[in-house]
Amino acid sequence: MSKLPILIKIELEKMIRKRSMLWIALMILAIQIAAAFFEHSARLANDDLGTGFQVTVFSLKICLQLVALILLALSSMTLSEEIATGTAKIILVRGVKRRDFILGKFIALVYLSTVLVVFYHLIGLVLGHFLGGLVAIKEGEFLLFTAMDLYKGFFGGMLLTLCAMVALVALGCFVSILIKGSGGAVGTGIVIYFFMQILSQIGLFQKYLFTKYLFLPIDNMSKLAEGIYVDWGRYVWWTIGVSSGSILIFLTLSIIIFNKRDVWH
Amino acid sequence: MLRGCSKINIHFRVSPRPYDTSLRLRCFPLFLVVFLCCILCLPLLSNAKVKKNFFAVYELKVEGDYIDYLMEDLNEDGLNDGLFFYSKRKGKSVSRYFSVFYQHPNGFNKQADYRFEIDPDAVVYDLADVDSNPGKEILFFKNKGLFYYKMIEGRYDTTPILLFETPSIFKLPDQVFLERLNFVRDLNDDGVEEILIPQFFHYVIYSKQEDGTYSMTAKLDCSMQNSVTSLNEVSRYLIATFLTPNTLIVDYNKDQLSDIVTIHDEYLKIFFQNNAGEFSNADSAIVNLKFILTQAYSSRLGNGNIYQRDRFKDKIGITSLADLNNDGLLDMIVEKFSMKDGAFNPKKQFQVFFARQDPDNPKKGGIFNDVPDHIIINRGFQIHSKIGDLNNDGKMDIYIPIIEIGVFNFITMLVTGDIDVTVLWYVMDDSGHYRKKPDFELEVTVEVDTKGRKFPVSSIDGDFNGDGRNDFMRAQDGKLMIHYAPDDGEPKEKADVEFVIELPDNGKMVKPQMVNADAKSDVVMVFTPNGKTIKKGKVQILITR
Repeated sequence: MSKLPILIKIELEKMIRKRSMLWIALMILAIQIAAAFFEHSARLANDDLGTGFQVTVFSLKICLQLVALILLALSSMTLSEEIATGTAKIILVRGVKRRDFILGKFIALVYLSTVLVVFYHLIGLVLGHFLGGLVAIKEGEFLLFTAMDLYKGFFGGMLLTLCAMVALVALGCFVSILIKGSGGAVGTGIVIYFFMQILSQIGLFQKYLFTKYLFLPIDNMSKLAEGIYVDWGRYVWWTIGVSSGSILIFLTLSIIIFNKRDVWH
Repeated sequence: MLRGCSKINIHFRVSPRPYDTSLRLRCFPLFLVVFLCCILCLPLLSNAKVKKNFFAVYELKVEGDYIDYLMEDLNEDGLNDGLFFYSKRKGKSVSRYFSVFYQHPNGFNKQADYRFEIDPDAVVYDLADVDSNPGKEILFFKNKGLFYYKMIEGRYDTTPILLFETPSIFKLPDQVFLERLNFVRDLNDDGVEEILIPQFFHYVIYSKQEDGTYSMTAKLDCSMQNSVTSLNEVSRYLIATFLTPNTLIVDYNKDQLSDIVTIHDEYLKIFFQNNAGEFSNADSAIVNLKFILTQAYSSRLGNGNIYQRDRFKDKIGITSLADLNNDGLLDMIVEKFSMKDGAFNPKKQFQVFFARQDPDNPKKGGIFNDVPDHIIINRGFQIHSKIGDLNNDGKMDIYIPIIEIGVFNFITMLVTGDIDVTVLWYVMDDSGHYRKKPDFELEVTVEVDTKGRKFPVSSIDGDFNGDGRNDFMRAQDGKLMIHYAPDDGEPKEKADVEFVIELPDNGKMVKPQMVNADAKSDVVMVFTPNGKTIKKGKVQILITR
């Protein structure tokens, strides 16, 4: 019988027990709230209040950058730490398949990503509601987008962000297999991430790198909140396709490499 | 042999090697070679055709700075010639010149056919046939009135001739440049050009009489706009500026007669043409705007550079006043520009107002709703937004090229000198409306000059295949690229023509022009010296074969 559900549960319990996790989440929340108030006051100063969606998106943009880095760091050290400290041996000696070991950690991180992404999106909405109101966008009397259009874009964007975040977590897991030691793994993960971010700005590669789609939904939402039309249909399949492909590649490589790796010495 | 293999397998099980590094290292150069080959082969996938003979190139030498030009048939031989303005510094003084390059059946000479110094008091100029002699005259304002250079035996005589005395707003000349103003136009479509003179409070129309002289036929109430600015830098200056309102000669009220439409800060003023081909104050109308247009926030000098005042303030202007939906009434596109969210994140709004017949006064043409009929909002640097008929249905489509500047692509731009431009096309549908979503998005790369505040090549003003529809011209990798107006109405990302040629840093100086007698557009490029490769006075004329 597969021990995957138990492994996921253990991993989740480990994450919940980590106090540092909670503190980091609260710090990001504080930054999000500060960003929302900053944006609101800047709009007040410019005499251009707009709608609460603009506040929501601005605060989320900053917040998601941090969430991405935190998830990358967490996923990069998840395996390397266990291998370095030797706890991986204890688990594997109990007959746990290496594949399940990796998948357990990955799925737990996917749960965590989902919770964080959804949580900060909802917080963003709450902030937007109180600092401007989540109403339709108008230019004078001309209706640009209804509140419903904006909600649809917002939640659609959230799901797409989540897809790309999961790919980021898969990249982190892959790095953690390659590099011994959690510090080295996190550093390497971040360097690879920034390198991919640069590559995703270059026309030749950009379509095929999940990093392009990481903040594309929130950028699109930002455009939408300013009355700029966004063709979501253009991005949906690419985001889902490239993210799924990346997840598949990173996980498969992680499993293949980990299967060949000597964790006993 | 088999036993040997078996031994190796057992060896792996007993002491597994974590990585077969030797195999990976052996394969690495092979992978690298394959990867590099793939990268190098990518350009071969391009469908664009490098057409070496697409243009015949003529290099012209214009000996000076601030080069400006007009391509017109000066000597009336059926071929457009080049009248090039330039200025030349001699010690502390600056002289202004015209160089004349006649087009011969076999093209242009490198050196000007002749050049002559312009009257130092000349303020603005235009070309027109006002004299009975063959050839076009160069008309220019001086403080006293309107003068012209006459063409005698195929050459301009450098003695200014007074056409008539008249006051105008053109009193003092610029020391280094001579601006062209299209003040001679055929207002009543009778084949004889009238002269429209801006005075401080009026537009005065002079018409040609039967005896060949000009006399005033209308004095229209139309105030020039003005502003007074003080400068308190090193010294104290006071700058007084007078602005001629943007003036269109179009049929405003669907009576098949051209009218004079002047655009002011808060209103449009229309002078209607009567059946006798005359204009008067009595037959005019004012259409109030619900916004105040920004007064001359950007100015262009002869060298193509654009200087902006209050660059970071919000601006509003009329981009286009044309019949967009082919209903005979002039529609209006208003452009609102804002840099509130930072210089790298400008926001542009296009408000489309479709004109509707005024029910109280149907003869006075169109009026506009208070609320725009359509709004298009975009972010990013926008080069030249224009209107043109993309799908040949007689209705105007909107073309907006935008450059989205992020941190990474800004770095890429600095390193490579290339930047991605998204050209958005909003096509008017059968019901006469634009959609919220752009109908087409064309992703192209253009070259920009990273040293100065210059512009990439981007134009939809030329028809390079003579099919009667305007094509899209851009530049990339040292090539001039042309995308023909598509037959199916859907623009293509791959250029139809690539032409390898040296291009000016400033793409605004690459313009389609009708130079030779065929129906295809040609290109004129004026180079600004950059101190390294481009020498002073270089002009290239590219004639489509």
